[in-house]
Amino acid sequence: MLEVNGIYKNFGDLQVLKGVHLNVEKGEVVSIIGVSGSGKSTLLRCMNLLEEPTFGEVWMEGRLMTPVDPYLHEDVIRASNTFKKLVADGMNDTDAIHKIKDEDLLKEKRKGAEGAEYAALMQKIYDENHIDINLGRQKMGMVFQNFNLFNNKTVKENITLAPVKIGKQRLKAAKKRGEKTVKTPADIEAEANARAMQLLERIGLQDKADVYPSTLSGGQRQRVAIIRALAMDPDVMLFDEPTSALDPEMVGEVLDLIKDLVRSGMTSVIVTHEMGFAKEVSDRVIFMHDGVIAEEGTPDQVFNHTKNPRCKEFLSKVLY
Amino acid sequence: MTLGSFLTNIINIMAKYWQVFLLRGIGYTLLLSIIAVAGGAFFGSIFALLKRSRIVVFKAIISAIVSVVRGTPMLLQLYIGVFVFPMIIPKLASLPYIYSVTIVLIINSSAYVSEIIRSGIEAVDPGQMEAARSLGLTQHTAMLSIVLPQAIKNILPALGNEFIMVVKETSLASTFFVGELMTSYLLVKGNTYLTMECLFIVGVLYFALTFILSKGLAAWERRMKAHA
Amino acid sequence: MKKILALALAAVMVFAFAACGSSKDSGTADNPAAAYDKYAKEFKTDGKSGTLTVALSPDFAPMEFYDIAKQGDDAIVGFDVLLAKYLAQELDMTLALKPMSFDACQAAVQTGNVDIAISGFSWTVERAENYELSDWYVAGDNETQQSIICLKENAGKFTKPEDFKGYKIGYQGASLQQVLVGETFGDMPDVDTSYVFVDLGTAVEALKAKQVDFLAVAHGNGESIMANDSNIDFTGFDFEVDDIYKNNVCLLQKGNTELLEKVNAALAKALSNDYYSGWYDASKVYAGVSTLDELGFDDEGNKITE
Repeated sequence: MLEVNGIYKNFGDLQVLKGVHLNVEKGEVVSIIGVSGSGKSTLLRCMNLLEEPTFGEVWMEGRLMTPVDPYLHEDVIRASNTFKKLVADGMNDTDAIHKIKDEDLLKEKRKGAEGAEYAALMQKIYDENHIDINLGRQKMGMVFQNFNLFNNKTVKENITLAPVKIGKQRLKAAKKRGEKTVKTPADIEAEANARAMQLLERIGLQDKADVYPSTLSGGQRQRVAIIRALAMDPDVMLFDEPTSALDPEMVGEVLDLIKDLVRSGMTSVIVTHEMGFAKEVSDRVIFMHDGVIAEEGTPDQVFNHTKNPRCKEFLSKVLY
Repeated sequence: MTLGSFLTNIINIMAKYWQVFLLRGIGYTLLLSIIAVAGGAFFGSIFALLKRSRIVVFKAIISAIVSVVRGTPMLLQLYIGVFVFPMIIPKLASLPYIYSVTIVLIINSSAYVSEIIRSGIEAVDPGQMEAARSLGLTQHTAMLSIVLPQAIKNILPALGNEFIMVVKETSLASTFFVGELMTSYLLVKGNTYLTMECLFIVGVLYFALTFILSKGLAAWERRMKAHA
Repeated sequence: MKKILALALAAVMVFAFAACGSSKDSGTADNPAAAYDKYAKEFKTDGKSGTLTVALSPDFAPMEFYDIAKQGDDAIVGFDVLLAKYLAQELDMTLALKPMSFDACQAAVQTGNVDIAISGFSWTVERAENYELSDWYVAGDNETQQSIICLKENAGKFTKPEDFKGYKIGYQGASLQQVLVGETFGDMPDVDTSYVFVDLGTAVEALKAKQVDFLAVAHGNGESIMANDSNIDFTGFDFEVDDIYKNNVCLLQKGNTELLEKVNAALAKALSNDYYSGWYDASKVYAGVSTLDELGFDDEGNKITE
C-alpha cells in the first residue's frame, strides 16, 4: 500500500539514507527502531515527502509521488543512449545495466541527453502513475514529535482547517469541471465541525474545542494532533516519535490512543523509542542502522532472536 | 553663550519661524516617513516573496538590492537617486527632487522591511509549515493560513521600529532641501546663523516625534499580545 | 489609545492645512523685502527657449536664503537668485531653482542634473579644472572684502597678521577663506589654522564656545552673523584679496561651452550696466544685515539716486 523503493537521502555531503526498500501492507503496523541518527525519522519524513528523497521512489496505493527514478526501471535504462553505447561497444546487457547503476551514469546528464526513447519512456511512466503530492499526503496522516499544532488556531480550528480548505478546493475544482455539486461550502464546514467534535469527544477533550493549543498539556496536544490527522480520513498514519517530547506521566494517554487506533485496523508506521509498545502493537519491527534496514521481522524475531550484532547491541542497551 | 541668551534666542526663533519647524518640518518628516514605510511595507513584501521564490534571477536581484541598500550610507543612496535616477527615468528630471528622494526612501525601506518580513517568517517554527503540508494543504494555503498570521506578530513590532528609524533617516533628505525637519534647521540656521539654538529645536522635535511614536507602538503591541 | 491616535492625527491635519494656506504677512510699512521684490518682479523668467535649472544652497544669507513667508521657488531669495532670474531673462529661458546642499550643487552640475550652479562659488584652480567656470560677477563686499571676526571683547585689537600669533583661526572648508588663511598665515607656525568647519553656522558655534579665537569670513556673511548675535564683531583685520578671488563665478558642466558663452555675454552686460550693487544692497536689506535707509532705498524699495 505504501511503498518506498531505493530511497537515498543526502543532506549536503552527509548520506542519511543509503537505499531503503520498504513495503507497508494494508492494515499492517510497522515500527521502526534504531539509535538516533540512524535515519529512521528521515525515512518516515521521506514517505510523505516532507523530505524529498535524493534518489528513489515513493508509491502510495499504486500511485507515484516522486519523480521517476530511472535506476528502478530496467526498461528505462535499456532505452538510454548510455546503455546503447555500452552494448554497441561489446558489453553484455546485464553488465551494462550494472555498470550504469553502480557508476550512476544517468544522473549527471540532462534529460534530453539520453535520447528521445529514454525521455519518452520516463514521461510515460510519470504520466501513467503520478499523483499530485498534496493528494498523496491527504491519504497519509502525520504525527510529529513536537505536536506542531497550529498556534494561531483554536483546537477545533486545528482539526477542521485542512478538511474545510481541501473540501472547498475540491468543490471549486468540481464546479470548474462542470460537475453538479450537491454540497455547499457551508455544508463542508458543518460536516468538518461535527467530525471535529466527534473526534474530540473520543479523546475526552470536547470542552477544549475553543481554546488555543498553548493552554493544553503536552499529552493533550499530542492527542489533538493525532485526531487532527484522523480528520482527513487517512489510509495510513505516520508517527514520528510521538511520545519523545512528553513528560513521562503523559506518555500513557498518547500510547493508549495509538493502540486504540491500531486495533481498529489503521495502517501505521511508527518511529519510536518505546520498545515495550513496539513489541506489543507491531506486526513487523524494522531496525535501522547507518541509513539502511539492518534487521526486520516480527517483534519476536527482532527482539528475541536477532542475529544482527548491531541490533543485539542496541536492544541490550534499551531493554536493560 | 549664556543659558539666558540661548533660551531667549530659541524663543525668538520659534516666534518667527514656528511654522517652518512645526508645520513644514514635522509635516514633511511625517509625510515622507509614512510614504517610505507604507511603500516599504508593500514593496518589501514583494521583495520577501520574490526572495523566497524559486526563480533564481529574482532572488539574485533582490539579494543584490538588499545588500547594496544595507551596505551603503543613506546619503550616498540619496545622491544616486537624485542625480542618477533621472538619467534612467527622464520623467524624473522635470520633477522636484522630493520625488527622487521619496523613491530612494521607499527602496531603502523596502530593503529593510523585506529583511524584517523574511526573519519574521523564518522565526515561525518550521514544524507549523510541515504540519500544514503533511495534511495535504498547498504551500500557498499553508503560508496564508498558518505561517503568515504567526509571522505578522513578529513583523509588526519590527515594522514600527523601522518607522522610527525612517523618521530619523529622512533628515538626510535635507541635502536636497525637501522641506522636512532638518531642512527647517538648515533654512533657519542659514537665515540666523544661530546653529545650536536651531539644532536644539529640531532635536527636541525629533525626540518628541519618535518618543510619541514608540509609546504608541508599545501600547499597540501590548494590545496585540493581549488579544493573541 | 484610539483617542490619542485620533488626536494626533487631527493635529497633523490641522498643521497640514495651516501649512497649505500659510499667510503672506510681508506687507508692513517697514518691509525689508520691498527693494528686493521690486528687482525680482522686473525679470521675465518664463522664456521660450527651454528651462534653465539652477542649483544653489540657500543657507548662505545674503547670497541665497529662504523667506518663510513666501511659497515655492519665490521663497528662495538673495543676490544669486536675482542673478539667476536675470540670466533666465537674458537667455529667454524658464527658470527652475533647485535648492540643495553646497556639495550637492557641484555634484548636480557634474552629472548634468542642473544646467548651472550659482551659489557664491569662488574661483579656484581645482574648480577650473573640473568645471566650466563663467566670467566673474561682483557680489558686493561679500567677496571683495574678506575679514576676520571674533567675540566682541577682542574687537579692534587685531589688525595685522602678526597680532594673531598664538591664536586659533577657523574657517569653512573648501571656501575662499581657506585659501586666504593659507596664504596669509601658512608660513606662521605660531598661528593655529587647523580648524576646518563644514559650514559657517557650525564655525560660529565654535567661536561662541571659544574653541577657536577667530573666524575668517566674507564681510557680508560676517554682517549677517552679527545681525543675529551682538556678541560677535569684526576684528578690524581684512585680508588682502587677489583680484582673482574678489568675485564669484557660476559653475557649468565641463564641455557645456554653448551655455557658457551665453552666460558670459549676459554677465558682461550686467557688469557694464552696473546691476550688481543694487541687487546686492537689496539682498542685504532683505537678510536683515542693513536697513533700507542705510543703503539708500526709500520705503517702497526704490533706490534713491543722487
